[in-house]
Amino acid sequence: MGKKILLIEDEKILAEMYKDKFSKAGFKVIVAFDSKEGLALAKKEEPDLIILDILLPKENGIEFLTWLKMEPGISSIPVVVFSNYDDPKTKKKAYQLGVKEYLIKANYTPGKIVEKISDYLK
Amino acid sequence: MAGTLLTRILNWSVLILFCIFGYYLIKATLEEIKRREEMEKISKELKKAYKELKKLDEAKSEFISIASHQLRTPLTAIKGYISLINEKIYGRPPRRMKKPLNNIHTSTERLIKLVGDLLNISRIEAGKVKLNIEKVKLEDIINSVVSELKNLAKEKKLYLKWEKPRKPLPKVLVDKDRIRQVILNVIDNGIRYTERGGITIRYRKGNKISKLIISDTGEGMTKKEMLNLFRSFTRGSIGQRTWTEGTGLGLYIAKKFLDLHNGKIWAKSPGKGKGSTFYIELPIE
Repeated sequence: MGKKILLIEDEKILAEMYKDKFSKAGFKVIVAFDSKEGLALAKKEEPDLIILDILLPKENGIEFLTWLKMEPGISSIPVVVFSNYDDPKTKKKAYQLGVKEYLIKANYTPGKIVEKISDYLK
Repeated sequence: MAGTLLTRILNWSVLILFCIFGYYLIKATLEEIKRREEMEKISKELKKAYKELKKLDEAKSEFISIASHQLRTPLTAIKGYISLINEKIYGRPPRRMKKPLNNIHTSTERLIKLVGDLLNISRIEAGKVKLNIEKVKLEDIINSVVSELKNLAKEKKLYLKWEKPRKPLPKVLVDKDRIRQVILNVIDNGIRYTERGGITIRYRKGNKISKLIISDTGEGMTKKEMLNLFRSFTRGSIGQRTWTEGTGLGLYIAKKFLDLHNGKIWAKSPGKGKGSTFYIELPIE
């Protein structure tokens, strides 16, 4: 069985697109559409890696990262931020909260992001 | 008798002088108090205006970040789905679709770049570029830029050659995203203004500096064009004549980002039709 990825992405079109590509590449993909659902699925599924959007409905990605750090069982799961929100303050905060990388979605095709994530999971 | 009169006159004179002096002293003190009150009022108003301006400035920055996010999101979907179709993830597309798909891809990339350029310009102009300095391998940045631009060069039947030295390149203390943007803008510019031949990237180590030399076999430049090269919204004459592609922001952004790193960028060209060479210098430490 391939590695398990939790994708927290509220844009349904993008979520569907990345799910298609990751599934084809042999990953098991679970999708959450907001931070709360993301945290619940992270606890339940214990994925190998989390791909996190930043601008999410209600609580944003930074709040998700803060919650994740307080959950001992899952706090060590690597997180890669994948967002089109290119804000220096948010980026800094995300790195302070331990994300592996903060990538701008528009700069990557699904194929390229699969390559990046595969490298992290080697 | 005369002595007493003189004493009286003197006493009165002193008293009158004292009164006059006292009057002016009180008047000056009152004026000073009034002036201070006015200054305090102005200072309070200025503080209020500054706070409001700061709030507006923050709102403007946030608006630009949100607006660019909103523009990028649908572009990400177009770019992503085109790449998945080209990868035949949904089955093999008809052969006649290849060119239209490539055209959509190229147009989307242009729009994505434009959004990025405008976001960078707005931050540069507002003096809001904050560098995230870290020790990075320069070759990783160059490899990633070459990998991103190789298809663009291929589409124009140009070569994109990275003459990597045998020895590993020294690490540099930079904001890797910004320096990646600098190198990408210069090479992208080279591809844009080259119709035959290609682009070569070389590396030279100097005294405490890393130097990248990016040469193209493109249109070249006149002396006048070189003078305006790193100003905003400037394009070469070929750009004005036949292209609408370049925004004229790429080299300006590159220069501004390098200035923030205490780096340098300059260009040389033997003249029109003879290609150009761009030099990027970065301090090693």
